[in-house]
Amino acid sequence: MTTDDMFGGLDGPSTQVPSTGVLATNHLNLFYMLSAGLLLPPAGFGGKHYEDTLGCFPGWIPLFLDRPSRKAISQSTAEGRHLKPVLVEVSLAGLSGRVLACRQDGAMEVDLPSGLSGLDDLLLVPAPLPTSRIKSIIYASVDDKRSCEADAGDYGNVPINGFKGRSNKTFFARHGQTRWPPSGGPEERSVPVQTPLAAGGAMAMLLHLGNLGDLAVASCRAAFDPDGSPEPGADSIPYGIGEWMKTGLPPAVRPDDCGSAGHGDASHAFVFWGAVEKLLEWRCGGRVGDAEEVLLRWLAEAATTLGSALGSGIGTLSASLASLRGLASTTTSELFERHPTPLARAMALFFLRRDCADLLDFHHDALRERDWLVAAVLFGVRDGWLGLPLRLRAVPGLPEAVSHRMACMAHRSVGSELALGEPPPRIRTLREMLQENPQAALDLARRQKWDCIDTRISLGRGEYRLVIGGGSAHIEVSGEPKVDSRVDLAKFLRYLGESRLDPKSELKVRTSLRS
Amino acid sequence: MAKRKFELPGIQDLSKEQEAARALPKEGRHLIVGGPGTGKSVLALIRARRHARDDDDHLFLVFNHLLERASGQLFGDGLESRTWDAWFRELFAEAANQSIPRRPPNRYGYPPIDWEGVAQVIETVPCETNGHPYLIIDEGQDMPPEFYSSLVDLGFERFFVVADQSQQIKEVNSSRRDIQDCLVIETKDVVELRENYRNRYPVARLARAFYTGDPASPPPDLPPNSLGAAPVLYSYRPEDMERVARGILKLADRDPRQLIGVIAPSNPVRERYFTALQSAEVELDNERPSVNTYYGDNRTDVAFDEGGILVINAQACKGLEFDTAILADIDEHYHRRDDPDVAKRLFYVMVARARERVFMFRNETGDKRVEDILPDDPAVLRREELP
Repeated sequence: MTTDDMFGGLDGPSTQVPSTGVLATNHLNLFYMLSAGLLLPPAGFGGKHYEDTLGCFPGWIPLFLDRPSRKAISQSTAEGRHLKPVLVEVSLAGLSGRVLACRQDGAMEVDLPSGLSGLDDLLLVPAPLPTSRIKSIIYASVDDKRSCEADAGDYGNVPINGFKGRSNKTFFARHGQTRWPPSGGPEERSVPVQTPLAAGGAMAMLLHLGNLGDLAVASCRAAFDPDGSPEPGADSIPYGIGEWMKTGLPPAVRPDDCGSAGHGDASHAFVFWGAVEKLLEWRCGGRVGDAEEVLLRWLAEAATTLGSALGSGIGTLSASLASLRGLASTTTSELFERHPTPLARAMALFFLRRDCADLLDFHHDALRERDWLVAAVLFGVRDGWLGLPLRLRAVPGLPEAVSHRMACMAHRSVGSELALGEPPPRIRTLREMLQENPQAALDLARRQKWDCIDTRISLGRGEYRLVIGGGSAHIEVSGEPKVDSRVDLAKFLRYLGESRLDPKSELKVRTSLRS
Repeated sequence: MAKRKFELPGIQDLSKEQEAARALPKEGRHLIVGGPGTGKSVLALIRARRHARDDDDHLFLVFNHLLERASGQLFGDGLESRTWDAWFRELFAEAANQSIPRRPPNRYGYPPIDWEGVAQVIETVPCETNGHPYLIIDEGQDMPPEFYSSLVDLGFERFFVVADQSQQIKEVNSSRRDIQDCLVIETKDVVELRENYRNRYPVARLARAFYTGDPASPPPDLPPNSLGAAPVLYSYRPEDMERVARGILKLADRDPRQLIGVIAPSNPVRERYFTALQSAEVELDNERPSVNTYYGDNRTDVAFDEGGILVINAQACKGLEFDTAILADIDEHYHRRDDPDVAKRLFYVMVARARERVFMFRNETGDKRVEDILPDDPAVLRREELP
């Protein structure tokens, strides 16, 4: 049953168990949540939450199962004349676990899905929920829909087009009888969303750099599917990415873990995961100060912890990075030569490139696969999913996959009793997909004009005549020879790793692979 | 050359007050005031973008050609922009069927508009309220009050003016009150932007050190950061000019997409930096960055949609935005100790041009004349040797 079914009749709510609920909010809060990929509590709005129904029970998402009351809608637009009311239809399918159900006689804890009686007016669901659960966005009029969709175009990261929008005056004109706010609501829940957003940014960046090589593929797999994939590269820094995605906590590497399973050069892993942790703290603390300054402070702390030999290397790196904030006398190449480790180069990139998009546009011959992967995580954490422009989210299925995983991480980290159902499948890298589909690889190589195509011409028996003239040569044969072109896989993968396909080209390849 | 372009803000980048300004209806007269870096021009460009998208007849008016070029190139194709005076002269000539009245040439040889004469003629022209475009006016404090009143008298009704009284460098300009009075906008309807949108914290903090305290236009709140490396003041000897140039070129080379503005106090200094930047021998990773200059009638080769280095005079910098601003030979700016506000206002404007970083250069042979207006606190302005 959808909201149309639920709200269609005039005889009050149906007694059927609903499959969707409706969140009453305003268009600017909705934009923020679409950008974040999460239906968020007010604390997740970075100080920019406009009063709405989410504010009544912080940490809970109020989903009306009948038409929202007049009070709930007017509350959502009370803060500014420019706010437009919107209703967000959210799917309840696949949700399981403890929620609060509100009825005329009060609120009670019930288990989804079996505990719903069909007489409930409102559910209070622990936040956050993934925006992949949004079935539709309902506007009060065609004009509101048009204006909100145009409004979203003023921002670089509001993916309004990825959601079904419709107008329905009735939802707004015929208000439900649900008491708002319900009495006896729950206490505020503290919900950490900054770490999941950072993880979402890292997932996206690992996917965008997932064509670089086998380690990149393994890192991407571990980020999206930590339960089903081994940790990447037992002797390198990305080891631990799966653990972070699974637990929400960066691996706690000790500097004296050197030689222990997995972390290879433990001092670098210690500095790297420590940096991730410091950046997460910086995000959770409201992003006060420059992220670069956060890294410099951490490097100073790490140098002290690591002691003389290891610490002096970190100290040298720190001095180089600090010099980049002034009129440093080095070029980027000199910097990479001086600091050849993936950790150092990733940190240098962190100071040299502004954001994820800027990193992906950057090329330098000295950079190797591991350098990029370490940088991908640092940049993803700095910008987070919210900070990614639309063009970096444009891989089909990526927003849904990331949104669900971010929400799961948030629930896991607070021990919530809500399960969000089966995750959308992980997004595979083109490197994986194209290795399995030689024809698509050939098509891409042709379009990109990559010099990696081998052609075999099978000729039957006979006499062949070489004709030279007009600046070219050709062979004349009788009949139709068989021409078979295929990519030289090693060369093809090298081209694929070195190129950054623009979003349109990537979409084209993915669409052709799907069909 | 590496491309730069106007990037739409993320939803998390705009404050509630900026969103309220962004949401102002198309119709009506709107005034948005705020200090440098509060995102006024971004809002104006978003406004123009929306009009363009809706196919509205609109016009983006700016103070000078440099700003017109900067706005147009950053916006991409399709910004309907003009300089205000050229457009107004044409408008007047069409409406009144005569060329605009002029006063005798000023000290620069330019005959300013005779606004009294304009007003007298406009009185005789029928006021037509239909058929006028939506006007989006950037740096509205730089246009004279008579410009606004003339437009109202000619029947213009739809204004979106962004202005900052504390950024006045020119002699003829409008206060916030002037614009309000001319456009009949009540104080309660003026949108004030207080939050810093553009500048990183260290840049905003240095700019604030030069704020002169104009209550009509408060400085923007500092960004919510308390960390970050302070801008640097480098002293150099004249024989080190090439080292200075090499440092700037390497800075550009490390991020070829950034636009570096070298802001000079005078034409000779501008020329000296420009020449040094063109001729300095240096090994770089990338193609040598483009180095351009702009002065007076020279309007060529200035690209705001590409990275590189632009060397300009201080008077031309207002309204522009650079990734890095380099203030050249700071002691050569006009400064009287008994009236420090003039120089402070200029430094305020110059510093606030930078999004990311500010460097200042002092020629050691100079008289350190602006020392008394520079902050002493090394957390606000560091003093360092040339690297």
